[in-house]
Amino acid sequence: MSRVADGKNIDPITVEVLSSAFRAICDEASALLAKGAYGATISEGHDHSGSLLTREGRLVAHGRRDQAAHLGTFEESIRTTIEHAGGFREGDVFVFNDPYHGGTHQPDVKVIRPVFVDGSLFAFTISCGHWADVGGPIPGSFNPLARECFAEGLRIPPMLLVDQGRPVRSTFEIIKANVRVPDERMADLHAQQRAAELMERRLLEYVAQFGADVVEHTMYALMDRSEVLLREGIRELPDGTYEFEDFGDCDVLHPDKPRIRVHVSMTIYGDQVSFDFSKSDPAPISPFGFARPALLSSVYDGTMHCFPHLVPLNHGITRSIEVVSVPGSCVDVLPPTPVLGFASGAYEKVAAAVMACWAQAFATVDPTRMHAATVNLANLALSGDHPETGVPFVSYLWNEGGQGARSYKDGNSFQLMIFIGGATNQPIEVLERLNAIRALSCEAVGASAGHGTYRGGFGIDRSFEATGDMILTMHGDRAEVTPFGLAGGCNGGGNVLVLNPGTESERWLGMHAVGEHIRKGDVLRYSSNGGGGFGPPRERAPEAVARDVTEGYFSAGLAAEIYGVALTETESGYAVDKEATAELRANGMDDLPEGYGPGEVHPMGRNVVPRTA
Amino acid sequence: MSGNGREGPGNADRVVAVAVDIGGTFTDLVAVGDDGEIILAKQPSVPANFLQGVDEALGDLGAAAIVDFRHGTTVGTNAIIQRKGARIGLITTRGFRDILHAARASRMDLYDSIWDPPPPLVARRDILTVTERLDYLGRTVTPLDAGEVREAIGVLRDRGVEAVAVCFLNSFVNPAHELQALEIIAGEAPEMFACASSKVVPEIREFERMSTTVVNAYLGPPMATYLQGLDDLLASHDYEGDVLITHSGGGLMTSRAATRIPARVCQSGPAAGVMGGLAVAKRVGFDNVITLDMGGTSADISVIVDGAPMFRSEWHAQFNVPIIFPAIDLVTIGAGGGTIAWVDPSGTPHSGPQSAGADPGPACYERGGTEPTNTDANVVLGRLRPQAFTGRRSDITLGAAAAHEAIERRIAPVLDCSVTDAAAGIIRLSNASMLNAVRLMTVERGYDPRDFSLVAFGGAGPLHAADLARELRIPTVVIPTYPGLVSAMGALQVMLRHDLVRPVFQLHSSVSRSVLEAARAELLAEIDELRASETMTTDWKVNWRADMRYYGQISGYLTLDLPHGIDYLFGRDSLERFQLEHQREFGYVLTEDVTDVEIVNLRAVLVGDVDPVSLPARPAGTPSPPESGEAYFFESGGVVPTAFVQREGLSPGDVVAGPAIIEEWDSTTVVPPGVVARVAPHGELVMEIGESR
Repeated sequence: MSRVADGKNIDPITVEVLSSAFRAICDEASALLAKGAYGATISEGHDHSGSLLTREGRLVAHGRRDQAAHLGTFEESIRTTIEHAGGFREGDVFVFNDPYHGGTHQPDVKVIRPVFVDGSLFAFTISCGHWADVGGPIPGSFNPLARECFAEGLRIPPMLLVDQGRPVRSTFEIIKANVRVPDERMADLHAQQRAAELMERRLLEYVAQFGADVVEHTMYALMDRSEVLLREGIRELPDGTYEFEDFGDCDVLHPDKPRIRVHVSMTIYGDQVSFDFSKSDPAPISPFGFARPALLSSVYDGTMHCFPHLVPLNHGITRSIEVVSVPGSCVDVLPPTPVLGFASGAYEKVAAAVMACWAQAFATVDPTRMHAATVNLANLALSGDHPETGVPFVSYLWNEGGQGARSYKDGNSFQLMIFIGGATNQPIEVLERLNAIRALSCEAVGASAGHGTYRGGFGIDRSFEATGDMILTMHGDRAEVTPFGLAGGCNGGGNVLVLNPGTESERWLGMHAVGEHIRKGDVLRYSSNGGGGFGPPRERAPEAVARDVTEGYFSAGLAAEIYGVALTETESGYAVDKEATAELRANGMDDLPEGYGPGEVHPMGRNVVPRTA
Repeated sequence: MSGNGREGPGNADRVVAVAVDIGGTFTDLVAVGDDGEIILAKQPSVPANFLQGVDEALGDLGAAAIVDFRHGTTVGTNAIIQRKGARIGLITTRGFRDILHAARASRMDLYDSIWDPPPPLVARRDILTVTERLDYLGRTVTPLDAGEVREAIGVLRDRGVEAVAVCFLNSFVNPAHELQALEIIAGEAPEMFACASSKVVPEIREFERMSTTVVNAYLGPPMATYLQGLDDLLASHDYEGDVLITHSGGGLMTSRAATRIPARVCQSGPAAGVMGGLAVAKRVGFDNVITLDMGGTSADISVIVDGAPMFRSEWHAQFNVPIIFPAIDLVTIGAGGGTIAWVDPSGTPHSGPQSAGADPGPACYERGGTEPTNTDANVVLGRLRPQAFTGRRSDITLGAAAAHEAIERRIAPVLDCSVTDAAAGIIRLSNASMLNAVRLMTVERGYDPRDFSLVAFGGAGPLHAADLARELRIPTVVIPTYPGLVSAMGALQVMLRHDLVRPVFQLHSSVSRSVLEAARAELLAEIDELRASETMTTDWKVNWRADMRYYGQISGYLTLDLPHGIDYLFGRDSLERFQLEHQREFGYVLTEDVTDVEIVNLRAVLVGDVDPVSLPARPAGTPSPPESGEAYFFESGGVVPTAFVQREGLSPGDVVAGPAIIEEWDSTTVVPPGVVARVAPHGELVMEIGESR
């Protein structure tokens, strides 16, 4: 077993040892960043990533609980940095966030560190974290009314942060001068530098142990292996073009306009795959879309969910996927079109539509890769002064929700969005201490699951009461066009934000509320999407329906109406009345209406069904 | 030494202190006589009836009288992993039925729609809500509806629920509603095991507190039955003293306390192993130590700095099952003797996390296992000789041919190499996962492995230790006197320990003495209760600590010792210490004009001195000539002539030069070429690892 490589013949054990080391390096960096960062978006929300790239900027590995939205942008980040820098010297560190040239949105700030071996550039490490604020007119920087990126905070081209080991004061100062609570952000920046440095140190240990050539060739070998595996998987799928479309609810600055269409055609030819977004709508005026780097993240994200055994994402996969988009469209916006809304806007639709295309291709080959759509972000920003301590707060709330059903199993409840799969929710008791809110609920919304032979996971109701005055801004979507079902399964329930429900002053704030003044004592109903269903609800196993009612998710009435299952109450819950069920299912069930809203059946999704080859 | 691993006969007039540790694979017994004699026994664990294994191990004591009994057990962890705890109910605040099921909404991997979280410990149907609400300062927003609690407990009792957990929002600052509910439950269903989150662990974060309380209820009835059975068993062996149980915090508590807070018994064996490893390290003069406890199914790795184990405030018995008692910080990974090596459809080799366990066990056990394991690889490499293994488990003979065949069939063809190279590859993969874990534990915290010694134990630890140390550039490896019995040895070394906590939430700049004093008074009252029930010692010490962080930070905190109790929190000393610690741990500090420092919790660590049983030295051996044979070493890149040395023939001061294999009844130590193993005064093996590559 030769351990010294000639470049092409590294033994598989060494490859695997280094492969797990590359991933461990990224996990370590992420853990360090989460522990050391100040901002809750990083430390509590885990909106951060750490990655390793080759000297050409090819992605090698990432942390297992990093954020998918970041990962597809890193190769472009390095390309842009190489172009700007013109060259690198040992001890250089760059800071960068430009969404249009390798970023996601402005709050995702990247620290980029070139790694040297024997005086030559060897690799790059990136530590990316979502800062709680990057300036702009609104605390927290999320600005649903932005017409241009200039209203979304500071845009940072690749800038030298550390020049051969010496901090570049002007870079720090221009950032500090443009963000709120600059010292906290400097703490975040510091933690990111430590994380990028840790990755370098760990990588160099492996270089010392195995030699630079073995380490580098292993990086390329891993890419080759991923590419081969992906292409082998694609070759098994029938050639053809598969289409899907999904919609954003509205352009908040032009609510009269039609819904925003996200359309994708996936073409499979032999072992090649291409995604074409040309039929997607032009970018709306308000924040919804993303620039091309984040589009790539989203396409890779949807693809990886259908090929989970290919983890980690690396260059072998990214170079094997062609993505066609029209500059200026809602999935490929150009400066200065705003981008901060992509997380609740384009991202989840693109990822879900990509997964729906793969579902069609896998329908005859492996139906376990067929997934209905998952919960969409509804990001609530609250700001004010704490009613008792007087300490000002800016905080984000986000809800977990339902995962889309699988072709063979219900979706899980209480999952986070596809775009932020490595994140977590926030403890109620912590939120109540720091903000002017008192929680009223943490319970499943029974009607939110997309009904189906396999149902989507349930969304959650996290309603709360204001214990002081505050300003509320919502960055959300999918109140109207909800996570779609497949194969005749229903679309999930909508995201909801209602002020003072059930009172005379009840008002639907919706997914694009901006600068709403909330008064002490106001109640907000804030609940999330359930996942889309899979297959017709009337074909669901009656015992599974009885279990849902026994567990208290929904009523026996709903079981009869939607699922055609008659239940009787027993000591241990609910049992199926077989005869009555057969009768209900034979007669008396209306066809479900087609449409894009809750309880309806997505017109294209209806035809995405498992088939025998 | 006889076949079942006994050392020393038990005779009638001997008085012994006994520790029994039940692990997933073996039940270990160590008894130390007042005359310094030692009795050792090892039996296969009997998961269906763990006490049977204890009874059999006690049988090896003969007629010796037990004067001190200590016990670590995997029964709690097993019940959680296998979902074999009690059927339980959960009563929580109206409107908040899904706190437990929502958990932290996290996933194992970002890209995996196929993954499902493990099922929660309580069915949603058995989670009932009652009207009540406290605000974040513990003020009553809505009083508790006692009628609803009565109704709920009636419903749960009628369903056959055996235990109930109570967890209300913000109860960590005001336990009144939970205590009221407990009283009602005691009145309505006195037979039911009930616990409330504010009594179990009054800490902020509703999910983690609820999970800990739910685990506690889930283990309540089975642990009570188990501990009662243990008490009865010991009574039948004429033992009248307290049964002391090791817990996750690396201390002991009485079986009475363990019956009340069974959640703390989880991870008891591994925590005792760390303490045992620490005792060994101290005896040979090391204070900075990495412990590696590698058994049949997994490896536990922990880091000791300046003679003290590290603690973590939260650990996970399983994904989505956090327990928030302060616990010895250890990482468990799927790397044990029985860990299976496999090749995925793409031709990529992997090691674990699946294990062949004790049954069927590795292929070489010839009990139906066909998957190649680490043990099989070590057999093929000549490191584990069938004749040496016979003493370890009298019921098993190692089949070298079976080990060879498993690797030849499953691994070698895919890697396109010889069976020996494939076996070496299996060991490298398994070592790689341990290396990553060690680096995660050290490098991430700002420590350099080169400043540590490696104490390796468990049946498989000494086989892998030298290779790991070399890769980590750890200069010294220590193999304890009896590597397979370190958890049981550790139980004999530790003190009674209880970790108590009260929230205070004070800003350092304006800290209120009355709030701190009230918290201290509550902790002192709890300490008095414990002293009254834990009567086996009167020698108690209280260490005061505080959890601190910058105001507005949400995750985590740093725990500082308070050398002068709460008074320490009023001076600048504590602030400066916090800044110093923050700089070391996270690499930055924020100045006072930017943000204040918040004191989150006050903690009391109650330590009761029960005489540690001193570890006896290994008896000097009768020298026997080494046998010559062959084994594989990475340094040689192949199989080389090797000396096989019996450890029982070694005496303090002896040296064994590699390439050598040192065999003993419960473990095997690999001494690579260029490395010399010396026998320390008490019998430990100490290897200096040079940078040979």
